[in-house]
Amino acid sequence: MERGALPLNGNIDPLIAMNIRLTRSFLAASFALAPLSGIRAADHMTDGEKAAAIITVGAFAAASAHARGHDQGPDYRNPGTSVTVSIYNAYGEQVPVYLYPRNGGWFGPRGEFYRTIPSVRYLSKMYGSQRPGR
Amino acid sequence: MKSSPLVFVSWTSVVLFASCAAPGRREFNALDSNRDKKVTEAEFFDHITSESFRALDADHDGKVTRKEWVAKESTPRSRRLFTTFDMNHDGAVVPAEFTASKTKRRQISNIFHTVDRNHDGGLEWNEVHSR
Repeated sequence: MERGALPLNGNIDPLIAMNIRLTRSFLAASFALAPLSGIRAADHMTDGEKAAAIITVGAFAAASAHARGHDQGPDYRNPGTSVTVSIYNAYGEQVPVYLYPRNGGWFGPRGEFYRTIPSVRYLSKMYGSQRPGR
Repeated sequence: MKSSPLVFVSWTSVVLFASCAAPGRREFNALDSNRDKKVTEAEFFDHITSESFRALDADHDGKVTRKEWVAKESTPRSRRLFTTFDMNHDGAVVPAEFTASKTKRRQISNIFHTVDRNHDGGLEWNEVHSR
């Protein structure tokens, strides 16, 4: 097998294979540049672990791409289907936060997924006057 | 015994459904070792390291010798890692030594958090399969 090549067999889904190739390029560049950045001086992942991580992340990227093609995410262009939660911003003004129902849960404005509708307090931390973690 | 058309249609539906399942679902199920429909960071770490260890352990004796390591790890950097992981210097790496590195745990954690988009420490299929 070519050096650095992934142990892929011929049965893999073409969409997954494409995303694995893209992810491999991205992560390979990250691994190569990481020691230069000084953030991560040591690299303790074996080649096999990197390959396994790349295959997993690539498959998840393919799942995300599949969802885009099958309308599995929130439709931000159609606010009529959303639920509005009012919170207060840093100026004390009441502002709306839209939640979009999909896949048995809710998507927030930044694309984050909630299994149930989040509380006003939580959304206030995310989008309002309170900072997260306080 | 003659099978009814209903049975044939049912099996065909099952096969069609399986072939049309979303990409990434199989990988998600492989990661979800306790079948609670949520992949935690620990499951992600265990999957990545155990898959890699299994691939390195050619004779399946539960430990990786230097010979087995060099046979699978092609780059000079990853070959040098054997010395790092063989903490008791007995010439073999066992799973406990293989997973003990804090640096490795941090690296895999960083990869996990690139996928965990809502940063709740777990991955659900709805979160993975969303735009």
